[in-house]
Amino acid sequence: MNKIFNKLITVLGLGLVLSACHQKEIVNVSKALVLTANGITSDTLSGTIKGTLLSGKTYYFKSNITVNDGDTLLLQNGVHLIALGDGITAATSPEIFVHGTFISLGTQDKPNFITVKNADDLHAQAAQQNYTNVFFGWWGGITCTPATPSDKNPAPTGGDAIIKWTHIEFGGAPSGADDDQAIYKSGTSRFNLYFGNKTKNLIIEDSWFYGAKDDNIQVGGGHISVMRNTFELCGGVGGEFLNIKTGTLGDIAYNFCIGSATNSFKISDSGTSGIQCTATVYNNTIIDGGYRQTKSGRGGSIDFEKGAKGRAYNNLIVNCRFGLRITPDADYANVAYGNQYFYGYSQAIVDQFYSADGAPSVLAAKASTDIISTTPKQNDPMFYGFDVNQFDFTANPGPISASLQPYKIVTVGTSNFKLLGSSQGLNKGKADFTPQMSVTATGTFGTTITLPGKDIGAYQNDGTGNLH
Amino acid sequence: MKKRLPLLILLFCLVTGFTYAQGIIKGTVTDKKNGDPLPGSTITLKSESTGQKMSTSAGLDGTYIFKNITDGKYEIEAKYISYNDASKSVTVNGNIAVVNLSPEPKSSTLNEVAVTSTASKATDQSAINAVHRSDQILNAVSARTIEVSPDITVANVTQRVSGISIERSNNGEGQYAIIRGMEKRYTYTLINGYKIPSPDNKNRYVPLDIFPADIIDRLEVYKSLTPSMEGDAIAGGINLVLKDAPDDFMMRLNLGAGFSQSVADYGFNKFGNNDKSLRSPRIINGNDYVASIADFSNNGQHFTNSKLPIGTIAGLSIGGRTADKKFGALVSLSYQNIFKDTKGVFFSTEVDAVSNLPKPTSIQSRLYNTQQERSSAVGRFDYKFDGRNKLTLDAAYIDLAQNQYRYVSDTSLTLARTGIGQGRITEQPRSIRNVQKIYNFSLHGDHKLADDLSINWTGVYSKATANENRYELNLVTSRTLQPSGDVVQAPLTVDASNGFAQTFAYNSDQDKSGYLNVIYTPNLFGTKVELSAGGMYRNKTRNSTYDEYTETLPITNSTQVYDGNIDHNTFELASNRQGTPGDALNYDFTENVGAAYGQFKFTVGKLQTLGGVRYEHTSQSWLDAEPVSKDGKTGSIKYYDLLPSVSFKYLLSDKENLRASYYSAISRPNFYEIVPHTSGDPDADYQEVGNTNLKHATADNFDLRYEFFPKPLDQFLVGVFYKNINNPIEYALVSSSSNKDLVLEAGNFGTAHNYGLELDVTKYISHFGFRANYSFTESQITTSKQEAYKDANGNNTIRTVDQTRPLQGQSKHLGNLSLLYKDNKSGLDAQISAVYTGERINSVSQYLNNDVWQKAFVSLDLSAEKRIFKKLFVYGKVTNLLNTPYQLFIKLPYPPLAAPGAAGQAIEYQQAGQNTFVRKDNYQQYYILGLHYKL
Repeated sequence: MNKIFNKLITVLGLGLVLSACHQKEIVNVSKALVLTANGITSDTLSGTIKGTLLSGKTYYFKSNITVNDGDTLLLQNGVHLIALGDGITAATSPEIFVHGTFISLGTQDKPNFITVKNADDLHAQAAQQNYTNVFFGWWGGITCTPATPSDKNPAPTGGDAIIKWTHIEFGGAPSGADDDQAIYKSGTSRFNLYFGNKTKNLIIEDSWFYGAKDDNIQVGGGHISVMRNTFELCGGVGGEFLNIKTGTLGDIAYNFCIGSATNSFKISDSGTSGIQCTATVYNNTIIDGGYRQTKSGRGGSIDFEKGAKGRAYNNLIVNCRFGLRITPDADYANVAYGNQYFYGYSQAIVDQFYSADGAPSVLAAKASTDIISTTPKQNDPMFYGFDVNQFDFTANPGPISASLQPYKIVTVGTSNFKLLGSSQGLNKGKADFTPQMSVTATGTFGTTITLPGKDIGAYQNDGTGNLH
Repeated sequence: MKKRLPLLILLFCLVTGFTYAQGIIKGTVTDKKNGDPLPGSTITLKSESTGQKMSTSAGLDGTYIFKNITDGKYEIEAKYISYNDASKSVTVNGNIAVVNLSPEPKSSTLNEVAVTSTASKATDQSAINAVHRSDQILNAVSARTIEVSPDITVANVTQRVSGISIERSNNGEGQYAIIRGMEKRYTYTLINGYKIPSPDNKNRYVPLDIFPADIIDRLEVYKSLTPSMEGDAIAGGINLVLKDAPDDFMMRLNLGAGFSQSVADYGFNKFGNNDKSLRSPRIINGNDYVASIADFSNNGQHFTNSKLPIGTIAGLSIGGRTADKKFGALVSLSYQNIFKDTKGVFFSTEVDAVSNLPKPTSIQSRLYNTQQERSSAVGRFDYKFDGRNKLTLDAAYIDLAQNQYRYVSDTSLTLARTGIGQGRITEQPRSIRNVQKIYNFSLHGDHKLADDLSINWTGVYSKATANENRYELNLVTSRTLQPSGDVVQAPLTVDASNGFAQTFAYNSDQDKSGYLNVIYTPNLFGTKVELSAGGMYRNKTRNSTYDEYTETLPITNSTQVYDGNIDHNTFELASNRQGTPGDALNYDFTENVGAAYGQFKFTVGKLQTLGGVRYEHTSQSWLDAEPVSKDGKTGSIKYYDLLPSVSFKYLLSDKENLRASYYSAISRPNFYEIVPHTSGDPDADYQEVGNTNLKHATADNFDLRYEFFPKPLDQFLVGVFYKNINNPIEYALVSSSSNKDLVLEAGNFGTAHNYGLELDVTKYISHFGFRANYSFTESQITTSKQEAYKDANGNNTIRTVDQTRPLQGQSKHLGNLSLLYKDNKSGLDAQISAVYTGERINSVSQYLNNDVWQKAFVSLDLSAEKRIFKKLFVYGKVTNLLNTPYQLFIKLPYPPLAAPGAAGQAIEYQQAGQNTFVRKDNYQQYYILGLHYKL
């Protein structure tokens, strides 16, 4: 009898060990709903759209609009695109999601405006030194990223963003469910523009940015060409005019910047793209930056941080809380710099022309080609129409609330930042280097790169450079 | 307490030296029915000539001895609770008389034919019997062991079992068991054999620190599964066997006070109760609600310092049976209130973009003040209709409320850093109140339909909920080097954009399950065969809501100094006025599991064979709060598994078993890991994201064990095991969709192998006991890692490299050693226990060689109990006697000394060329003094 059982045991034992069976998961997960794009048929935009906004016309949108992968939204010149947002909730503060190509072709004569309905009123309040509503954050900005992969389109490529002669203003409303949490943590302020696509181009030329609640433009990867723009009054209690991160390569030149909360340009390799953030920053004029940032250890004009590399030449940095800042965690050995022109009203500003927390090797090797002093009020850059000593930075070293900053020191207004013929900045620029030219396309849908100029700052004495 | 240790050891040595040979009566007291020794039984010696009485008590091995006995006739009697007295006569004549006594258990006729045995499982004896007689591979710890051990929660008890280490929470309390080096997900927790849901968002199974140790009768650790058991336990299962209604009236009272050394050193901060709402304004008022400052309470940031709060431990168990023994009840109430502080240092690290060496980016000093209040009521009621039918109702309510204050000061090591003691600093006073509740009801029926046919069934309803409120104030300051050379301390101001953050997290998990088993024991071919079949079905619904609101500073008042009182600051609600409704942590998840099995068991000669097959079907679905414009708003996952198992037990002798077993098992991912959320634990070092493609892990498990029980209380176990795990689930850092940050995601990683050896020894000599176990575990898993380097063109970039490493949480060496002393006559019990946990991976890095390891450590606990008056005992416990720290490090050298702010800069705790220091937490000692009353 035992034999029967012994055989049974053997057979059962072997059989059991071999019989384990695990079914592969049958997974059914809902995919992102992609709606077919509609053409533009009325002056009120909504849902998923593609096509052309016609020259000289005004368009409105009060809910999110989306441009699908492969589609294009093109603004001809003289277009006003008005966001109808209250800035209270994400749902009532619309955003433009671009998974395809975004083109805004304003012209010098007929610029475009992407702004809010009460823009004139907000500008008027700013002129009264009342910035509460300027920094309120009324709409959700423009977000350019590739679409979510789907079965139909497993590798969406996204598209370029080409922005010329365009005013973009007053973004910063809280983000919501439609936003990618990896860009905007739920409820945080959105930017005027976010671009994240390391294979595509971001071209911003001759445009104006104003009144973002936090960062104005953030770039999470891409080939960029940021030329001849004007950046004014962005960031309530912190935020950069242009904040570029890992995967971003390109030139930032001939921009005029005034009144940023923190930096005008922050170049950082933070993130995980594997493409080292590299920027060439030249011939920019930067005024009065960094005073509203309430946290210490930040910058006020140009920052190279965390693994970033690149070049910084010919920048005119006036009364910024911190000057050129190349931190010890940047790839500082590969940041080239020189021919900067620094001016400081107070000793505190002068002491930070090269930010004191910069990499020791940078602090030990300040460029000999700079125009720099060790005492306040030396080397006035001699602007056509701007008094560099109109505000007492000694009494207000920062951080300060926006309400303490006069309108004139945070916006262009009626000032003129061209250099007088007597300025020391003329002919001190380094013109013998080639920009990165990461964006290779040229023409209407490409970039027009202005090469490094002989005069320091954004405005060249021969009329080239920034055209505003 | 500390002085008693050498004394114990001395005593230990002395006793072994005793060799008297004249006028001695000695013997062993054993159970008449099964021959098990009855330690602690009272033996009384009465001289027939003088009437003089002497008494003693039996030792841990059931032996007793009377020395220097004058010649004559004596009557000797043994008494033991729930046993009839046994007596014998003996004549002493200057010699050694051996008298063995065997009392017989008192038992009603009902018990004799009872479907299940009611013998007390509380004793060490029964725990060992459970190991000896079980059909599968298990280890057991008895309630009596727990009572005299230094452990106050079940988690701490489990670490005394071979092959088990525990994962601690940030206040040093053990929370989860790691069986054989496998992550907690591979182990399930059962109460009386049934699963209970977890209130924890991240885990399927309940944290063990929620259970006070004194409600359980026995802790069983299963290391193999039988077909009748649920199959999702690759590492094994932990079963808490609750106390059964006793035959005689029983009452136990326990009252103690506890105090923590760390609290004595650092004080204790308490915070106020939220006087507005514990649920988020969105949940109360609907998704469209726009909240305002008025919806939030500042009380979570109102702190009062209490110098030395005293902890409380109280327990009451009452049980008994009606005169006809048909109805029995046992109710246990337990309350614990514990205050502890943890002081720690933590480095945030990343890797250097060129050298791939660890690079600390900030240093944090952290102080935690944690109050844990555990209350539980557990009732067990049974009714025996007759010898063939019995109903048991279990009802349990467990509540764990935790109040935690944390203060973190975080100094950046990269920015504004020019030397030690400098940099930009963020400070965070934070308070969290977390309340977890578990309700569990089960009705169980046993029916003997015929002599060879019985059925049993169970219906279980249980629900677990957790509500967490978090109040975090973000402050900034700095100590920065000025160009003048001075270091200036900036005032402590409120972080304008991050301000005061409040989160509201709630989740509930509800199970409805039914079980049915049929057992048929026919005689086939002259052999009794036990055939059983059955099934189960469980419907689980999980609901989670999460909202975060941040109060920020107004633009017009953006620079505000913090003076310690939040009421002096002005905030506005300007960003997430509607909470975070779109967060996928707002979800509903349903899981239906249906299972059926067939199992056989028979013994031929000395070989017992148990085997069979189990089928489990899993069907999951969810609906989360993502908009339809994103992937994963809804989803369903279905699969089935066929899980065979077979185990052999060969009786080498009465006292020896040889076991071999195979079983197939699975591990289902946690809901939190599947649902496509993109935020979650704000306390995590990295943002966590869900993975809808996560597969369940499957494993083949092989065990071989030799067991030797030389004496009823002694045991020697040695075993080896091998596990082959497919699609093991581990967390890894991956790039977020925007490349902005690294995020933590659960994934499947090929095949892992886990094998090892376990050794377990228990030995009693008279009043002394010795328990030791050791396990060696080795595991391998290969995953791809990134390595940062500078390419030929001078660009910093990354490449992918495969790396083989042990499983997360697996220590190669684990050891336990306990020394016990027990003297029933004087009523003194003492125990000293040491646990060694070898180094293990704490978290897996995305980067090559940068895994964070936990340093090996030894923890030492001590406890003693002494009878002071009849049934009243005084006891004391000291845990973490050596103040063993929790330490984390990276097995890569800290880079050579470099400039401040760069990789390799001079920092406290870091030494060039040594392993990179990541974290060190100190919990310090905890003392308990209390009274037990046993009736």
